[in-house]
Amino acid sequence: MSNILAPENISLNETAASQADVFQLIAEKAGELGITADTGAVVTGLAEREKQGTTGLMDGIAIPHAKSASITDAALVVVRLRESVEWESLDGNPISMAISLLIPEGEAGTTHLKLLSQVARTLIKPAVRAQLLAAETPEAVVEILGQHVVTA
Amino acid sequence: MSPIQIVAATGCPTGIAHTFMAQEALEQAAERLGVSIKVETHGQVGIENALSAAEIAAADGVIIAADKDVNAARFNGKRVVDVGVKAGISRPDELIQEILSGTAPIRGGNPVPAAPEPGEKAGEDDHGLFGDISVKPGGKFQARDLYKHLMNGVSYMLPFVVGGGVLVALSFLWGIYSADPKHPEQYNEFAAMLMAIGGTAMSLMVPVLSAFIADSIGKRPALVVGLVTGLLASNGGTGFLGGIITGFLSGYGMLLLAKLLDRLPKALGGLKAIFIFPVLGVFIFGSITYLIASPMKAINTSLQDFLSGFQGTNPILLGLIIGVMCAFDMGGPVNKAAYVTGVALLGSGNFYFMAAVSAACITPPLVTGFAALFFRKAFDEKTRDAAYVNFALGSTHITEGAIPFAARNPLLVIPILMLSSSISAILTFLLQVQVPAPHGGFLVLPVVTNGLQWVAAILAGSVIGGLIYGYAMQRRANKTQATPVETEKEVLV
Repeated sequence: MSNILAPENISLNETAASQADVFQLIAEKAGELGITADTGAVVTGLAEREKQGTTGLMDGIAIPHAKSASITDAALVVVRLRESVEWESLDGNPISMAISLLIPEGEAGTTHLKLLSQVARTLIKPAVRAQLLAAETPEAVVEILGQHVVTA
Repeated sequence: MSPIQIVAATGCPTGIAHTFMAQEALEQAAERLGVSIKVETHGQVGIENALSAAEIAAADGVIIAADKDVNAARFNGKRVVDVGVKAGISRPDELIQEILSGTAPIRGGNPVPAAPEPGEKAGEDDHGLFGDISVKPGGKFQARDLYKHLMNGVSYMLPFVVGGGVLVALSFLWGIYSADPKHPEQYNEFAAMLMAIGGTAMSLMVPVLSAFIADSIGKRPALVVGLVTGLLASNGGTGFLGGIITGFLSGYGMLLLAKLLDRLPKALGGLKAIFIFPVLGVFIFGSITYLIASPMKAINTSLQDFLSGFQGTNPILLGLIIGVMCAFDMGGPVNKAAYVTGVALLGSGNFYFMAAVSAACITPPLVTGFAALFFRKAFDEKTRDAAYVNFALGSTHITEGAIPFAARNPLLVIPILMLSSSISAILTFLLQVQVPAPHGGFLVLPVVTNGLQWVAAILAGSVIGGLIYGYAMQRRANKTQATPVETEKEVLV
């Protein structure tokens, strides 16, 4: 529960040339965090969800998500890019920050799901998006998301 | 003057992110525009913040921002803005403006109260027993609706097949005559009990399929009619194809009946739900089913005569006919004709024919098992597990295991199963296999002549069929993902 969103889930200085690269980064991060043993399946899960409709939001933020049996614990993984990538987002802008929700297949406890939903909700607020894009450290990102989730 | 009141419903296939973002966006926009809004969310955890009938009635307009069914019929007669979930996120202000300016169209049809979706929590106001029948809003009719109704029936049927089939298969472990007191050397009371329970569960398969197709179309009044007609069809020997027909007949028939009875005075509303619909519906559609099912016996007998005439003919032709017949309706009149002919010929000492029939009956469930094994990703988890269970059901000659797979997509799957069963049956003839027992699948191998060849023939047909079926399902799965439709129950995420 505590590591669903921790500073080590967040990298703010990554390089990617395409959406597929971003999925790969997210999956590798998930592997490092020990919440999946099969990064390939995580990439597939993210790509499959994307096919059902874009997860790109406004102002360069996207929320790619996946529900997969290969994910063992629910977690948020945040990747911010030095240069943005094309994503077919809602406002047409390329994406420079991916806030990814990773969900185990059999996730039954609603606490985790609600938490993730609240994170998604909070991204609707323009101020939150601006703060996230400007955050300087992983700790700051945790604080921004944490604050709004608690008060949401 | 009270502020403008809007109600909204949001939902997306995953039910984690977009559903709630649309809720937030609409709530913020409402605040900016000074209107009051209540947003019902259809998320992964179920329906939250549910709208009551009173709230819907009091609302000045409705916003639906969803890529899944949010039971829109309850909004009939209101001004409704109906868009995808993304529009709810990206342009909530415009959606609210459409209500405020009165440009949103009024949704057709009569208002109907919320009825609980299967597996979902009901809204606050469950009118239940006295709820009116749902009338198709706006008369829009789409092919994907048909698929949705069919899938509803199949998903309710599946556990009956698995539960019943496995118990019957277990009873064979005591021998294939273990439930028959006439065979004291094998008879076992526990096995007989397993057989009785399993057989009962399997006999509910077709009625349940019919009932929940009907329920998906016409809700509770149609469920009753669908269950009765399904059992009539099943008893009449129509097999699962008959159950699909009675399901749609009952569902759409009850919608039509409801429309015809629409002009009855309001005061009769309660009487309609508890008396008029069940009595008239069961009578009318029960009669139709009775008439349709009655020639089944004749069809069955004439097919048997037809088939007996072919014994001793070219083995390839005969294998093809047997394969096609056995896989056509898996327990229906055509399959039964082949099976009964095989049993009859056992009596006259022809053991080759039964070997081919058994091979053709064992193959279809194995095809689904191999398909799921070779193409894991083409099936969701639940379906995959059911397909694996089919290895056990197929091995014990319980062809019905393949029915849920055939029923969700008959035009594609049945021809593939026919081909597979034909391959198995033809090879069985060519390899001179003889099976002297009328049932039991691989459990009767000790008494089979050329048993190894028989298994090889069956595996050949099953593996080929599994490859074709799996490939077809995978292509379908890829296509479905490209165009998100009513698949939330089957392919979540």
